Amino acid sequence: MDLAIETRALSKSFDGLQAVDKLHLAVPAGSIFGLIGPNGAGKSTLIKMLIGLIRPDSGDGFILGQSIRKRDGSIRNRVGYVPDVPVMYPGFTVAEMYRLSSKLYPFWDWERCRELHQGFHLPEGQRIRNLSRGQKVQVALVMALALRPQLLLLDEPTAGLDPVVRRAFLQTIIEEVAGQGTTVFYSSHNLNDLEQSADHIAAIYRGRMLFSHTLDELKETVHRLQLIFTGEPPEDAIKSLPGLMEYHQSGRVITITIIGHLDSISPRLVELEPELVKELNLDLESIFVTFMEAQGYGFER
Amino acid sequence: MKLSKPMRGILEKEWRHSRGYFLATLLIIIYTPVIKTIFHLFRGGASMEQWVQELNFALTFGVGMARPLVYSSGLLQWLPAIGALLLGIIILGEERKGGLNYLVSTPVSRWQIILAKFFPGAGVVILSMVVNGLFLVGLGLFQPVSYNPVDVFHWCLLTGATCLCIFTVALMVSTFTAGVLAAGVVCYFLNLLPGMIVAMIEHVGARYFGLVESVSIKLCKLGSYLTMSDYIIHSERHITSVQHYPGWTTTGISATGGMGPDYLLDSCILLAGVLLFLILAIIIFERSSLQTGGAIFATGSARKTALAIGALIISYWLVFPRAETLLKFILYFSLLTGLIIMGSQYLYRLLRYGWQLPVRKKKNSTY
Repeated sequence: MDLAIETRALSKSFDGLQAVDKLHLAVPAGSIFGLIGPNGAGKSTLIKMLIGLIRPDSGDGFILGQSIRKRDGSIRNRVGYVPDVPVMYPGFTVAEMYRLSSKLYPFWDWERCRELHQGFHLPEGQRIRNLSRGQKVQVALVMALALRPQLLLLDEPTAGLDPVVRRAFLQTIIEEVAGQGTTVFYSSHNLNDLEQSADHIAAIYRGRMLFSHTLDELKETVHRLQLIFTGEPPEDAIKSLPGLMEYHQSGRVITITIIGHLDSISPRLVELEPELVKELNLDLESIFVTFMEAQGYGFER
Repeated sequence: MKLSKPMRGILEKEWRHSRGYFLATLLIIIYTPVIKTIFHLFRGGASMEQWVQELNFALTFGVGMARPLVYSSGLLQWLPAIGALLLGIIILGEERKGGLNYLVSTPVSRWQIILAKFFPGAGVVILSMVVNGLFLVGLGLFQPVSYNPVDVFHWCLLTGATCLCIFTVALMVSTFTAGVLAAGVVCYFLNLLPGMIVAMIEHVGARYFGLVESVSIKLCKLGSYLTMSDYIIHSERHITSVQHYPGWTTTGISATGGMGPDYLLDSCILLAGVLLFLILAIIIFERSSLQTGGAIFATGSARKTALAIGALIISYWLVFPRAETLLKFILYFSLLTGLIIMGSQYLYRLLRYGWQLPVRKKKNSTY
């Protein structure tokens, strides 16, 4: 399997705080890979290390087969980057930013740039400092796509965008992947967006990998089950089930979230003799919240 | 030599982004020799005569000679240096607020970013000195001046080399500081630092190892050669004797007056400094993360280095006047340096995280 991104025990700390901790990650080429994690999990640090803004303390990372420790900037020839708050040059006009990018990227495509620019209805002569946040993100996306990228690194780009712009943004990215085979590495807190667009999901917490699966695998692996018992539920037996992440009891009704394939879980459940077993719908957000709560992450009143 | 496309791109960007700063620097550097002279020319009469006398004095007697207090031609030396310093700290420091993150995320290598800032900046300094030189030589054709073109060349060479060196140091400092003001403050201390360290070594040698005066003089001269501002004022270059005041960390230096600088030697040292600081700027910028981590220093390693240097100097000031023997000096000096470093680090963490330092649960599992 070709990998667009690979990290091997990649680590970075700031003033003694471990932002990324021996992270191993493999992103298949041509995938839309969603990266999720709570605030401060190390998502932005990871992306900034991949694009070369932050130097790793130890370990190594590879983008499109080349080490991120390489000093030569040409490893970013076909890597587009859209940060959460694109800064660029505030005194430059949009057209001047395009012109600058066209000189820096060897595969720059003016036709694609014009097409996307017109599609987003961006003002060409406006200075960057006078653009709204959403417009800046769109300009950054136009520049990232016009360089004919093989890899797109998106760091929470849709945070704070209105629904229309957000949808247009996602649609453009999906079209890019479908048409060009670009790999998209996409960090976001908006799990609905990821659920609609991503085919792989990885979660990091405190700089470490919690899980990394395809979306289908993830949904096949994590289950929320409702068990109803005729008599007193066998609490201890249920709590000793392997892979149990969440347990909630309300009278004779038990709701559990469990990791594992149903084929392996079912025989254990049958032994408990429940009157009824029902699988509840579990979306990406619920899976993420369950994982986070299992890690002790949450708001305590 | 043909420039690569990205290099041409960032050079164009540099011109588009920093041309205002380049123009301001040019005006600052040519202010005293050109603009001020034109101003006096327009006023004419005694004003111009007085100004020509000042120019004669500054250009004939050397760059840093003591001058009558009423003379304002001191600006001839200081203003160009200030202009070069400001350009060096602004050209990179100002960009930290925005564009630098964009530039680093493109296929441009970091060494190219530094060179794309160095060459236009150095070009402006050299162009300004050429304008100054031509104007001053041209002025001699119309006004009764006592300096000759060689004096002007000497002045342009040394002042230009000093400005280039200061510009490069400022550029290097900007690679590890958090902004323009921070870079200015660090540049000021960095200018004093080599002289201070050499003086500390000389004091320790004189007190505990009975250093002979000739070696002391050589060390003091070395300190002067390592201090950039000394190339402008030349206050302590021709040292004849060194006096030590017992119990104090200061030294009395007697220097001969009336001697001009060694233009060629000084310029060569400064140009070697330009090369050294440019290489250092590239190395530091290549290695550092573009993450502003503090008010003064952008990187943790720069903060730690500054803390260690600060602790060494403070310990020296406190221990040296009181330690009669070498053993006591080494003991107290090491102890106090360690205490200051550890105490500062603890204080830093305390201020940053409060009384309760962050404790992490060790619960890392991969599914």
